[in-house]
Amino acid sequence: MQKSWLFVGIFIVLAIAFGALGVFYWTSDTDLFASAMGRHHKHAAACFGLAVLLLVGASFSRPRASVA
Amino acid sequence: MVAGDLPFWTSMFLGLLQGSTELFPVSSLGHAVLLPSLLHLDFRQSDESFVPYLVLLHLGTAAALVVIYRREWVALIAAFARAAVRGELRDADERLVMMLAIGTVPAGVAGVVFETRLKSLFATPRPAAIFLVCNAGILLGAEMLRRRSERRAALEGRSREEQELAFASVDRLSFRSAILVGACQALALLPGISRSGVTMAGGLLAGLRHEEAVRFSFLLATPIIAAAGALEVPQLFNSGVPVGQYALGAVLAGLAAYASARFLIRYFRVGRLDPYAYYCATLGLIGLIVVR
Repeated sequence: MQKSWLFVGIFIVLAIAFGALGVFYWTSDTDLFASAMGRHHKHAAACFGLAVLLLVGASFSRPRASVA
Repeated sequence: MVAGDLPFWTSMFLGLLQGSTELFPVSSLGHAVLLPSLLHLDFRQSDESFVPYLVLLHLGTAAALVVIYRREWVALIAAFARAAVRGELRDADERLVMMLAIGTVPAGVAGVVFETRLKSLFATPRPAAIFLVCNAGILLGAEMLRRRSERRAALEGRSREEQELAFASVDRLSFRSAILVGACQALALLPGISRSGVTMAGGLLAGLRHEEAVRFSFLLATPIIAAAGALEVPQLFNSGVPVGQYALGAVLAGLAAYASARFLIRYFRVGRLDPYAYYCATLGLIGLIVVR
């Protein structure tokens, strides 16, 4: 995996976006990517899971301090 | 009739059927959708609590897999935490658990996004029969490609054990292949396409030994089944169904899954997918002819 602070930033922004989307699905009535209007806890759970994986991805993208 | 009115022996039959077919590469979901119509069992698959009941039965299967791989799962969960915090893979467990995490994403996302359309397929047996025939094609195709690899590596004429040893263990699986196998798992949301079948086929195409493809398939199954169970089963308990009867069905499913997993782990040391492909093709064709 590419080690770069740019990737860390991208992963963290995406993680926050999916986390926020998860909160939205959990608390609001919506039919976004869903068959009917309502609260979609499964969609929320999937978003939270993706957010966690994106944070792991951010952790893996951290550049390592080189040993002199 | 609602699923809560499922006759006792029918629910026990469905439990045994699900548990015994889930880990074989023959699609338990395809069986659960098709066989009741073939056998004229008296309940409606279109009922709202049918899918949660199926998921409860799947939880029994997942429990069997957790029991079989319990030491491995303890090590894998610890490995996930270590690797996630450190941001680096240092051993085989850390690599495997990250591949399982990535491999789980496609089926998880597809299951959530296409849930309603997929559930509508559960009520109609004919698509399940068609997908069973497709499943047979996938299994046979994977074995044909594997045999070609064996010929290319000049392994023909050697014993099956020697042929298998020429292929890789899960530790050698690439992340790209893990995503491919995960994408294959998403196909199994269609009733008739076997989850274990397509993930084993994907594993074989990625160059794994049959035994290792089975191990990866079974490990990959657990998180997605457990997550589906955690999200679906509460609906079942809110719908006034006989919880004890259904829980007994799940226990039967778990016992059947445990026995079938033990059998399959031994079988795939030297066995191939072909017999299951022929079985799926036969059942699918019977379904297409008999079910209207």
